[in-house]
Amino acid sequence: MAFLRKSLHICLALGLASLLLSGCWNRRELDDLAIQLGTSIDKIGNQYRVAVQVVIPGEVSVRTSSSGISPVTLYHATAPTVFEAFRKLTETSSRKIYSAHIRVLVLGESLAKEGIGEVLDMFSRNPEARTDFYLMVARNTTAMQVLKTITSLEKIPAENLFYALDTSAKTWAPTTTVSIEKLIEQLVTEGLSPVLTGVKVVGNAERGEELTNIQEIDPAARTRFVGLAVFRKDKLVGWLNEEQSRGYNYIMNNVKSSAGHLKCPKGGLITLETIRNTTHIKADIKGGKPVITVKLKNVSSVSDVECRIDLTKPETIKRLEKAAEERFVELMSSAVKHVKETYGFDIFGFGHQLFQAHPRAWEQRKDKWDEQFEQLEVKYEVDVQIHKIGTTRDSFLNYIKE
Amino acid sequence: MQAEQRVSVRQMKVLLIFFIVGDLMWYLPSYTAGVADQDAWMAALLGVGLGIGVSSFIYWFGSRFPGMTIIDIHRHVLGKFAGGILSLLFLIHLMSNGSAQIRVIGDFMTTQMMTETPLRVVLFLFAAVVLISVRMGLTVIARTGQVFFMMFMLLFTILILLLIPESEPSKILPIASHSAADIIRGGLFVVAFPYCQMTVFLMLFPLLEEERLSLKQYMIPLIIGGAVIIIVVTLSILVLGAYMTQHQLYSTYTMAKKISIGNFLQRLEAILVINYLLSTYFKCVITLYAFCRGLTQLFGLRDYRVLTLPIFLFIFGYSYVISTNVVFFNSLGPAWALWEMSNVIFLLGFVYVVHLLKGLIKGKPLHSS
Amino acid sequence: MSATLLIAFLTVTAFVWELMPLFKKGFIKDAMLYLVLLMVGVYLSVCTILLFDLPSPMALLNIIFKPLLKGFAP
Repeated sequence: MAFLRKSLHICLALGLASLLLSGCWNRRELDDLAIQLGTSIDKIGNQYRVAVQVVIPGEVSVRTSSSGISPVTLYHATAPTVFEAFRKLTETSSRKIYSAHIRVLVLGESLAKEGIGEVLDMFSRNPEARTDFYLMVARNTTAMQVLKTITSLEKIPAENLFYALDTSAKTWAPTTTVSIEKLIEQLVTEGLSPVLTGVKVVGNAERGEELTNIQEIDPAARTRFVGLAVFRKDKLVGWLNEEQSRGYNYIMNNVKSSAGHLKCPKGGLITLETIRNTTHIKADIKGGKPVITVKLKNVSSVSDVECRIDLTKPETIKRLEKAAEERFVELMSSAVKHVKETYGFDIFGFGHQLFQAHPRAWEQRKDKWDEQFEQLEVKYEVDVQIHKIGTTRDSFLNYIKE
Repeated sequence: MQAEQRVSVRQMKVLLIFFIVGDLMWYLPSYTAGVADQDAWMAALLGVGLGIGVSSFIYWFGSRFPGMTIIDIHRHVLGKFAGGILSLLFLIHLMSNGSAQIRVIGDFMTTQMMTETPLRVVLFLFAAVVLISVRMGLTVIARTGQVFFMMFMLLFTILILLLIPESEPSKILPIASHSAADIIRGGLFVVAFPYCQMTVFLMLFPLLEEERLSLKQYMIPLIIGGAVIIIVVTLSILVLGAYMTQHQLYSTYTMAKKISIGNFLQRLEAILVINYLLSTYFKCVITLYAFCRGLTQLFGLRDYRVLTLPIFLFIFGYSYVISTNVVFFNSLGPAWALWEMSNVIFLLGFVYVVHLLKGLIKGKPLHSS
Repeated sequence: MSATLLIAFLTVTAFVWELMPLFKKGFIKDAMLYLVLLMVGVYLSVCTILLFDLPSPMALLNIIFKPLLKGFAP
């Protein structure tokens, strides 16, 4: 009798416990979800047009060969707020959109000019959303067009944008990655204004939407990262060109590796590859005025010699280092000058550095920081060290004989 | 009362650590950062220092009346009626704390992880587990604590180690840009939440009848708990920055989301939620156990176990009634901290003053009979 | 619907298994307290399940500590 009771108890306990194994309240099967990889938001009139790039699993899987169908599909919907537009997408899509794997968020230029702050709140509030996707601004095109361009190496265009930006930010100075938490931090920090990378569709955009785009060796249309978008608070006010973007990224310590050229003493160009780069910004108060010192420490190697230069002598290297230092100072100061003259507000975070070093001095100045920024004295201390020159000692160009 | 409710010193230390770590991971970083911004780590240091002082006071108060729980002390010093009122206030406080802890878990689960589950379901399940543990008794709870302690410490160490690459030292600058008043205010949160709640243990220490817990043994869990607090708050500032810590509802969860080692070890936050759930569970069990024991002692009942079922229904309903939405619940923080601190002042300090005065008037020595 | 049934089931179980023996053994004080707690508990649980909006006692905290809160809250 006791055994029966005990076994009954155990069965009851196990039964109740197994009830909980199936999840708490409801379930979502994988084939009820459409996995979203890229989002684009445009502003049409008063409403937001959200376009979502959803992957078609059969087309990207390794085992089945690709038929003539595109690997992703695009759904779009227009509604007064962003979250509503996301829900409205189900009017056309057969599955509920699952946004946890989002890779890129492309914002339209017209939307950026009106202000991106309102759009961003949903991404920071939604429990499904992650914070590791990149943001970019579409330039001279709608954001939806950027998502429509078929790409070749990565089957999924959103992944292509993500990896392209990631790789490019690590190896080419004018681009930089911005994730949503970095953007929100830049928006709320005093003395710092946000900057986003711009993306353009180069080539024939309409042909770029067709699958024939990647059936040729040279696709008719590509997406390309061009310049940095400058925001005042959360509104787009202008773009930086390649030189100025370089300067900006060097000042903000965003550069991991890059390449740039110098003029050789006897004419011609020589390219240096930056291997390591660190920049520190120091803010000081001298004589009652704020002074910013930008300290750049750079280790480079000579990678491409396109002139007649003697690389066997150490003095050449010293001269190259000096020329490189001057070039960096020029890059950074032209970027700062351009921002001071054209925009007149602080995107480099000099104010923020002043706050971190001398909080009381910042409190006195923060209301009029824009005017102070225009007259701000910025000094540059650049230290370039050329450690390597590749595997050849002297360029064979010096030895070409008839 | 029950002969089986013995807890060894080591088990008590484990329970103390679980209690102090408790549910601070949910809200303490955001409260301190809300007041002190990036100086929250200084507020945490100050709070831990003061808190250890307050807890020592609580211990000392308990040692003045050996073998008596706080209900007995109140009855002894203030007589049956006034003592009964104070004890009732204390029990209401315990009950609110227990319900609030269950509510915090419910809110978190339905906000971050299972968003479509109704809050009541999570509250029901969690309250059921807690009250079943309470019914089992303190020895079982202590043994469970010992079992899970290693796992807890291991997961916590993993959390810290994996977050160090994600931290940016510049987020803690400028150092000490806030006035001392702000830092003290932040510190008071830390004093109130884990440390003033140690009054719960005044209900439980008389059960440790094998060996008395010496002050040194009592301090070790306090210091370890304090170290955990300081580490969590500092890491939160270093990894997320002052703004995100303040404005994210669950900043430790957001921190755990950021762990990414070589694009391979990612999305570990669910494992670390286990850590937080465990410590909150133990704190809740200890609080509600003390509540049940207190209730039976106050009304002179025979056995506390019989009360667990109605208390389950009561706590389940109360944890929902406490606040209708998350916003109201979070806004209760400062007032609740003041309540905790006033508890220590009135239920302990005031009572001791009366005890001293009684001793002086009667001319008796200042020890309890 | 099923949730109310669950609460009703729990109450009846509690009543039969715990309350009756208490009465039979003559522990009136225990039984009374049990009954009071059970009634309040059932009331609160039913309110929770049916989503009745009860005013929260915690609002009292804000009222009692209002003067001190001015110096304390962020």
